[in-house]
Amino acid sequence: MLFNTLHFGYFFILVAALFFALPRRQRWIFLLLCNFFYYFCFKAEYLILLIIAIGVSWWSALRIEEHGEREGGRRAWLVFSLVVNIGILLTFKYFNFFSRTIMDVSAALGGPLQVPLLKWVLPVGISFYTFSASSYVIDVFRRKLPAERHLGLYAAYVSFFPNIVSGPIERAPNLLPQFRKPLEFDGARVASGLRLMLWGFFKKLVVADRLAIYVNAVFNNPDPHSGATNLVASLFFTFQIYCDFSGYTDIAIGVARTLGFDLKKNFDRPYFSRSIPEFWRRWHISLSSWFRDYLYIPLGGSRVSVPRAYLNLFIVFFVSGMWHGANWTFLIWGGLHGLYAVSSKFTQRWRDRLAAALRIPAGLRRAFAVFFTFMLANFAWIYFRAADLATANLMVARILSADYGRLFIPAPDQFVYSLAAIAMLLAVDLLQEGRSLAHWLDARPLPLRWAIYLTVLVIILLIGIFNGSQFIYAQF
Amino acid sequence: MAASSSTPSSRIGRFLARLFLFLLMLAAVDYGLGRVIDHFFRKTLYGENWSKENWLLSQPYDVVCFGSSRTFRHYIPAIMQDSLNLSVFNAGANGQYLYYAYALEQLMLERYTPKVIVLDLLPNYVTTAESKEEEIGRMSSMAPYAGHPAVAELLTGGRFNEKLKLRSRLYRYNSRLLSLAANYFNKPGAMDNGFVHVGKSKFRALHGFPDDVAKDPKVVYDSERIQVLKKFIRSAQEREILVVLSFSPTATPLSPKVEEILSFYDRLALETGVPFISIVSAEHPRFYDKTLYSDLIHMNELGGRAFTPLFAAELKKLLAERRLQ
Repeated sequence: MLFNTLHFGYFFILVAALFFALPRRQRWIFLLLCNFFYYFCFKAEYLILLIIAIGVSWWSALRIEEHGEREGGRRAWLVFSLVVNIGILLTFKYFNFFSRTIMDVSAALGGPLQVPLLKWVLPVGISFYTFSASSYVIDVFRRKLPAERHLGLYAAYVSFFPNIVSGPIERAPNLLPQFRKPLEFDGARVASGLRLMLWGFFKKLVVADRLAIYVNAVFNNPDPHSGATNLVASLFFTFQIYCDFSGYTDIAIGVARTLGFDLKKNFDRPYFSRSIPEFWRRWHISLSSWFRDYLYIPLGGSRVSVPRAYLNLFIVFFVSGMWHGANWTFLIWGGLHGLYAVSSKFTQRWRDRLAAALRIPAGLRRAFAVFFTFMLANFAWIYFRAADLATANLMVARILSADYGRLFIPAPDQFVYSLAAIAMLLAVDLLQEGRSLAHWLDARPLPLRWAIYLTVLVIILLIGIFNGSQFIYAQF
Repeated sequence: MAASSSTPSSRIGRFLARLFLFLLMLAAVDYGLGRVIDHFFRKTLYGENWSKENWLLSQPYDVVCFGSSRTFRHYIPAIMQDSLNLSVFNAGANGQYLYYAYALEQLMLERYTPKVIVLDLLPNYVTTAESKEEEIGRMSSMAPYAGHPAVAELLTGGRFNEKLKLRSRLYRYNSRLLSLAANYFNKPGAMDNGFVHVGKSKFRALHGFPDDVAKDPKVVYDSERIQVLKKFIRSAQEREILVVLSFSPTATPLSPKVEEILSFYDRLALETGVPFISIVSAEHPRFYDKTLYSDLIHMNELGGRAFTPLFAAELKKLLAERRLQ
């Protein structure tokens, strides 16, 4: 039941209507049932894994708290919880990767080994709910948060349907207390949630899924295409992944908001970043901040020697690549971002000096930095999207070749829609530089607001793609 | 503050009233704007698949040829018109098969009754060589005609969600606004009552019949498609239209699989009482000449010019027998 299907539309209307019709005390029970039903619709068997993740993390957190000052016991329960939850995640995501690697290496060494492969489909949202549950247990261990005694409320938090498939990865201190909050119906809030959902649907249906047509055609077979075509496909993918993922997030936050819950912001117009570290403060914010708090800082963060700080930074990005999946392409993607981030920090002072010496105007420098950062991200996305390393390398070779003569345009009108969709997206993102478009809209008279919403709906109906395609991040 | 002093149920009521008003406006915009686009769409004639329907429906024709890309390339209306002294339209379309022909026939019969309907047959019209979903998926150009029950039924497959989508008049024009604008300003020139002059394109050994390309060596008949073919024939016969089934030449000899399907068509023609003009290359070896083809099953313009007089002569004999000329 993906967000971009009519089935989800019926589900959402029913949930929202019944949620507010029910007495406040029973709402969490209803929401929990909805969460489980929603997850059940993807693949019933994997509901068991979700229940295990919830049960183990909830129980472990209680035991950690019970052990009071006894550090050994506390640590044992933390390790138990992380081993079970992260272990399930690793098994599903990396078992086949390691098995294949062992087989490849052993074959290369002349003694081929046969290692069994699992034929399981990756459970939907496992990377997201595992990280939510793990962060909760770590926070209880760090005494930042009391353990939740109410299993039902905790289960509702981990399995919350708007964000279980692709985030944002919610931390317990933000979301869990909201399940206890008495929620009143607030029309303005619901309208604001619906508006965010509308924008999310625009990004997914009009931009991401339209660009996907061209992107898939080229990435699936880059060989016969020119450098220009490969470059355009990579640029299209850069916008596709942004709109696919941030579109999902907008819909998720919008759905939660209509029900009275606040989820954290996950994107902040990342392609206007001036450096890769800034890009990561604006892209998939909930994952970057998770890695910062639970990996980078425990590794010592920047409060260590300079080389060690660089290594820590690189490790975080490399692990981030691994989080996305068991494929060398993701590792290269993560590694590239690690290199970018380290180089950015390393060269920061020299670049500042050079800009000052050359008296480059601030605006020009900023524009160049935004463009350069965008192109770096674009280059790394080639590895992220390509089916394998050979395909990615082939695309890079094509792009770097001198063959810029022929641009593949299978249907000129469809190509124009793609460009128009990107232009509309950039215009809206640019309008939000330094101001909140939501606040601006709220201050407009109702007829103007409605006219804008109707225009967006008309655009979606006229040039949206309604094939109910998967969200890219649902596979992680 | 009015909002905070009101009860939750009154707030919900107020919100629902607003939401209802907004949805009403959306419906009005969808209908109004949809009608405007519809108005311009109905005036377009030019285009291969996309606006050919309008051209066919714009005025009555005496003879209409339905079918796939083979029909599109093989039947030259100008030659047939000269021979038969009747107006002829070529309604064949690239990438379209029986379902499209049936939907288009229903639209046409709603507006006028021609004297003759020709259906150029492909083997896969009655087999499972291609899934129904794939075939229907290519028929989105018919979405503007979703108001017709037969078209709506085909496009939606009876599914509620698809029917709901097609309730939107704007959605019927999804991804077609620019091509519509281009078609509106382009006037027919290179086309001749639905026929496109493809010229003397060079032969390439590509594009066999879907049945020959399919992995299954046996013919698997599709009862649903057979029913649609029978409905195609019956709905014309009910209006006393002469239905003629036909089969045009190919660059290479037919496979046993296709031969078997042609026998099936023979039996079907007998059963339904319609004539079947089958002009196969085995009986007319000059059609093995590859200069007449652009690929294995599609003739080029030279081929069309060689085939059409032959077909028109056969049709003329039939019309004379039935005194329809």
